[in-house]
Parts: sequence; C-alpha cells; structure tokens
Amino acid sequence: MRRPDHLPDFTDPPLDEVVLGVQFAPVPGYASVHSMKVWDLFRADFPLVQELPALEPQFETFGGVSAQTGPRIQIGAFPVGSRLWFLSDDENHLIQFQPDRFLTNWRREPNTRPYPRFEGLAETFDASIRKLGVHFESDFSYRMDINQAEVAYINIIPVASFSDAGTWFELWNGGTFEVEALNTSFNEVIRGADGKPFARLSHQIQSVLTADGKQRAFRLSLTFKGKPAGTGIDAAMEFLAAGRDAIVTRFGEITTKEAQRKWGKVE
Amino acid sequence: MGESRMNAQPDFTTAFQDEIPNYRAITDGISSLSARGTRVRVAHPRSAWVNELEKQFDVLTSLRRGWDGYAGVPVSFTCAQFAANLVERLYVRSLPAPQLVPMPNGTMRLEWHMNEFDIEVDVLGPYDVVAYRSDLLNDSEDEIEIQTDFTELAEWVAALAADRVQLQEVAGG
Repeated sequence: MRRPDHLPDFTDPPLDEVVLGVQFAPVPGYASVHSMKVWDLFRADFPLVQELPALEPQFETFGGVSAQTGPRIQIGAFPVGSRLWFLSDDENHLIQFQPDRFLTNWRREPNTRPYPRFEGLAETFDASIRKLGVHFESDFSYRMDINQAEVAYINIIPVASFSDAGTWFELWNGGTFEVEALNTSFNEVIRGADGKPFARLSHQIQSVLTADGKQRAFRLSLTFKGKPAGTGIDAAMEFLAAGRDAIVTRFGEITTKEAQRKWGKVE
Repeated sequence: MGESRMNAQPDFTTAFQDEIPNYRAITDGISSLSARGTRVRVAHPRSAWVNELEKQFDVLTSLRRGWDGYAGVPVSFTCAQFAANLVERLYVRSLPAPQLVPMPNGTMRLEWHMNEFDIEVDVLGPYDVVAYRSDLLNDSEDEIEIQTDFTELAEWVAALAADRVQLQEVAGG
C-alpha cells in the first residue's frame, strides 16, 4: 500500500491515536469461552490482555431528525460477554475484540514511538481481520458480515493558552477575551457517486488539561464512520482508506499554515 | 517545553467541561484515551418515542422461543438497536410513537395507522429496511428500500400529522 501523493504529509504530526475498526453481525453461537482461541490468533504480537465493557452497536443513518451526536440507545440485556483488549509488549498497539466488533489502535503512549503511518496500520489490520475471518469460518461456519466501518484520528496539540486557538485552527478567528475552555463539534455527510449518503465525517475540538492542570492542549478528533459498499473485508478496507483520505485532507484544511509549519509539513 | 514532550503527557482530561450536560466525545468508546480516566459526563439524548418504547423493545428482544405458537424467535438485539436508532431519527413531536410488531424470524416492524395512511416499516437488520405506505384516501401504494438514508421515510412519517380528511373537505368546498 502506497501513500497517496495528494495528501498533506508531516514529519512530526500531533497524532496521539489512530483507530481502525469494523462492526459486523454478531457471530452466532459465540460465547466467552471461545475468546481464548481468538487471543491465540494474535497472542504472538499482542501478549497482554485486558477486559472492558462491550461497546454498544452504533449505526450512521441519515434523514429525519438531525442529531448532532447519534442517539445512544441501550435495549435489553447486552449480549453476555465483554470486549477484550490484546496489547503489544510496548502497549502502543492494541486490538479490540467483541463478538460484533474488531478494532485496532495505535497510540503514541505509553512508550513514545513514531507514528507507523496509515499504510502500516492498515496492512496489519487487513491481515488481522482476515485471520479472524478464517477462524470464524472454520469454527463457527460464519462469514463475516460487516455492516459498519470507522477510522478515527485523535490529535493532541499542546498550547500555552486556550485563547491561542486561532494560531492552530482556521475555524477560529480569535478575539481579545480569555478562553477558559473550548468544545466544538461539527459533522459532514459524505455522499457516494450516486449522491446517496454513506458516511459521516465528525470533527471535534476540545480543550484538555493534564491531571495536574499545568499543561494545556487541544484535542482534535476526526472520525469517518459509515456503511462500506459491501459486507466483506475488501469493501471495509476500501472504506477505511477513503476515510483516511477524507480525514487527512480535512486536517490540512482546518489547521493553519503556521501550525502545519510547526508540524513539519512536507512541501 | 518541546512538542514531543508535551505529546508524551498522558491523561489529558477535558477542561472544565464536566458541567456541560450534553457533552460527549465522538471517539468515546473506541479510543483507548477514554479509558484513561477522563471526567466527561455522558448524556443520552433520546426522544419521547424511544423513552416510551424502551420497555417494549426489551420485551421483544426477550420473547421466548416459540412465542408465536410455532418456531418464532425473539427479535435480535442488533435488529432492535437499529430499529431504535431509526425511531429516534423519525421522531415527530406531534405524532404518537409507532407500534412495534415482532416477526417470527427475529426481525421487527414499525407501524402507524392514522389520517388515512398505513405505514409499515420492516426492519430486517442493520441498513436493511423496507417501508410500505398505503394511502387509503387516494387508493395508492408506495414501497421503498432503505439502507442509510431515511429522508423519504421521514417525509412519509411527517405527512401523517396532517388531517387530510379535513383538508380535503375544505378544499372541496
């Protein structure tokens, strides 16, 4: 996989975390006891494990009431089971698995590492999800039926003052008042060649602090989520690549030239 | 302090925003950052319809096998979740919530019967919806298959609010 030439590139981007993931119809007959075999698929590279609450199903739909953040509705008892994190030795890479979700995260912390780039993450994710698909087919006679995919880029931009937002974001034209906190979000509906909506690009800028309150930063989160053109792995990977393209393009559009120079924009 | 050191600081928490009731990070859940102890308060914006139907959704997803006297299975959790998402999106304050009808194969249907319209929405699974409308006043029928875009169905539902019989009588004279 080769990086598209048209995308803005940075030598030191403020990326803190990248997430690639899919949601699929739950595996019939799957129970918690089967999770050991799933871990075995990835254990060589992800030897650590943690258990977390399962994620609720989410669906990007369009038309009708325009909810800025989609409704989060929990119905009945959640299917028995949990979400598992399989972590790499350095804990910078992780796989998230539950019977209807499969995600991978790269994060800068806890052991600061250079960003491996989308191409590297996508290739690893592609190999991992195919491995999982083969396991589902052999043990459950289930062919992965993907109904949603998502890619998220989370940036941490350290600042001296939240009033400096205009230094970093084209969206903010500043002002002379002191900004105590900032939280803004907006969405764009993404349409296919047929004009029909299939994804949503969500943007969020938040002011954040370290726990001791001494260091300030903006967290810029860009998420591309929706329904791939098909239910198979190839379609999901194409969706993720399109999402990355949209996110990186948008990052170049909403951040200032001055900020991009600081992040080492490759001209 | 250099940027790389700043970026190495873990556990950023949201600045003074725990007082904002509707605030929710878009990456809540999938991001590993949200597991590092942010103090964001999560809200669940829901319509009156979803609040009203919540228990019914619970009942439909908890039906016993053979609930219909044959081999009927409960409504699948995924199907119900998508239907609830749809109900939220179609919400019109002036209209009653739809009737929820379980189907023996684990899918479900939303129904409205009012103002000389019958609307039935078969939720077959995520992004797999077929909607039917019978216009009893004009003796016509429509059918649409929907994946992600519910604009046309939302227009159907909104049209339920008009008192068409009275409108027709006024127009007729």
